[in-house]
Amino acid sequence: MTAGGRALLIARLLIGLYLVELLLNLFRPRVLRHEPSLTIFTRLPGASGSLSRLLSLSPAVFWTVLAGIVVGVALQVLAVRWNPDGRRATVLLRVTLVALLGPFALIPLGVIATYPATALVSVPSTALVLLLLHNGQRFARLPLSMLLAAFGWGALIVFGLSRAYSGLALGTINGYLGKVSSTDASALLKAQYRVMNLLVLHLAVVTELTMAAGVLLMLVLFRRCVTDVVTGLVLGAAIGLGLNFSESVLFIRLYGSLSAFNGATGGFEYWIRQSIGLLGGQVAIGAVLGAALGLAAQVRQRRQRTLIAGAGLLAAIGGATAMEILSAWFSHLAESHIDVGGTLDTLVISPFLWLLVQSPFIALYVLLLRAGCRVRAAAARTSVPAEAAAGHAITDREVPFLVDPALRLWAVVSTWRRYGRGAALALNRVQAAQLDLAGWRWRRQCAGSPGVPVAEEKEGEELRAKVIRLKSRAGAGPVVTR
Amino acid sequence: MADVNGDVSRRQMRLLRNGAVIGAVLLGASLVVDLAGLTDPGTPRLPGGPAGRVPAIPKLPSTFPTPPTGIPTDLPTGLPTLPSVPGGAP
Repeated sequence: MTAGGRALLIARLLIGLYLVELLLNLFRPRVLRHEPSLTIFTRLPGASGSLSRLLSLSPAVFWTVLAGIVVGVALQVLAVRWNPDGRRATVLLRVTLVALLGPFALIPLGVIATYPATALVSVPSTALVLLLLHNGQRFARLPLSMLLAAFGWGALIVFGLSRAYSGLALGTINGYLGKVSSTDASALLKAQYRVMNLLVLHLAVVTELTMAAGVLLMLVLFRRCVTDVVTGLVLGAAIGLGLNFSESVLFIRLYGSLSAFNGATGGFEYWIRQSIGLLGGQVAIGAVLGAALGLAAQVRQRRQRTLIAGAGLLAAIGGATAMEILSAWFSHLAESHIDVGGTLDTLVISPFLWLLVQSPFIALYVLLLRAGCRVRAAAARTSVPAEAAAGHAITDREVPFLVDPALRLWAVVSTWRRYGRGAALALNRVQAAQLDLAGWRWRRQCAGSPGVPVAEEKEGEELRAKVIRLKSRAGAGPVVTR
Repeated sequence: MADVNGDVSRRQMRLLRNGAVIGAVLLGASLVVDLAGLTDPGTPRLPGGPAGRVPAIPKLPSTFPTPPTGIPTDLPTGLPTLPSVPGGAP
C-alpha cells in the first residue's frame, strides 16, 4: 500500500469510528419523552453564554463535520475514477484529508477564539517545551515542519475528534444507564455518576486512539526522517503537548466558571497544566505511545509489530484513565486531612497526587529516550565519518565534535566567549546542518531496513549544498572546530 | 538503525512490556475505583440531632412538700363578670 493509501486508511478508520458513535447515539434508548434524535442537539437547561459553549457542540460544527465527510467521500470517488499521479495525487490526498478531518478542528478553534487571552498566556510555556523537543534530539533531528504538524494534530484534531466522539457517547451511555425513577433522587444521582465515570473511560480510550493515529499519519506523510524510538517519542510528546494546550484553555475557563462547585480555580488549572503538566500528563502518555509505535515500525514481523503497538496503546490508555480516576480518588481520600485550596495543597499535595499516578510513565519515557539516544550515538559514530570520507561538507577535524554532544556544546560556548554570539550561532547552524546530512547518510546505510524511508541522492546533494552555503555565509571567521 | 534483535532494542521492548503491565494494572485499578463509586461525591446529608445517649430528664426531688391537707375546696365562684364592650369584641 502506498503512503497516501495508508494515510487515507487512517482517516477512514477515524471517520468510521465517528459514524459508529453517531449511529449508537441515534438508536439509543430514550430517557425523556421529547428528546432530539441526537443528544448533541440538546440544550443544557439554564446554561447559557460561555459555559454553554464550553459544554456543548455547536450544531453548525456538527453539520460542517458531516459536509466534510460527504466531500471527502466524493473526492475519494473522484480519485478512483480520475487516477491522478504525481503532484496532482498529492494535492488531492491533502485536500481529502483536510475535508475529512479538518472540520473537527473547529471545536478547539472555537474554544481558543472565545478565550484568546487564556490561550495566549499558555503560549510561552508551551513554546518553550516545543523548542526543547526540537533541540533535544541528539542526531537525525525531525524537520521542524513535522514537529509543528504533530503539535497541530494534538491541539486541533485529537482535541476536536475526542470531544466529538465523547459528546455523542455521553448521550448514548446516558440512554442506557440514566433511565431511573425520577422520584428516587439518590438513584438518579448515582446513575449520573456512573455515566460520567464511563465517559471518562471512553474519553481516555478515544483520545489515545486519535493520538496513535496522529503518530502513524506523521510517519507515513513525512518520509525524510528515520523511524525509531526517539522519532516516535518526540512525535507523541508533541501531539500530547498540543492536546495539553487546547485542554488548558478549556479547563482554565471551565474550572474558573465552576470553582464554586468543585473547589479548583482557573489559576490552579493554569499552574498545574502549564508547569508540571508540560512534561507529565498527556505529554508523558503521548511520548510512551509514540515510542512504542516508533519501535513497532522497525520490526519486520507483523505479529510482533502488532504486539509492540498494542503494548504502547495499553500503557497509554491505562495511564490516561488512571490519571483521571485514581488521581481523583487519592484527592478524595486526602481531602478530609488537608486544608483544601491552601498553599500546601496547591503547591505540594495536589501536584504530588496528580504526579503519583503518572510517575511510572515519566520514568518510562526518560528511560526509552536514553536507550534511543544511545542507539543514535552509535549511529552517529559510523555515519559522520562515512560522510566525511564521501564528501566535502564534513571535514575530518569536525568529526569528533559532531559525534560527541558535549564536545559540540563546548565548541559553541568557546566560540561565543572568544568571537561573540553571531559566530557561535553560525557554528551551531553549520553543525545542525551537518548532523542532518549525517542522518541522511545513516538512512542510506540502513537502506532496506523496516521503518527506513529511501534516502535519495538528490536529497543528499541538497543537504551538502546547505552545509557549504552556511559555511560560506559564516565567512572566513575563525571557529573552534577549524 | 537499531537491529530489533540487538541488546538495545530488546531493552526498549522490555521497557515497553513493563509499561503495558503498569498500564493494565492501573486500568484495572481505575475500573474497580470507578465501578465501586469510590470517587463519587457524597450525597448531602441533613443535619441530624446529636447522636448517642439522649440525656434523661432529671428526676424531680421526691421530697417536695406535699400540699397541706384541709384546704377548703368550696372557694367562692360568684366573681363579677366584665362589662360587654360596645360594638363587639375587637
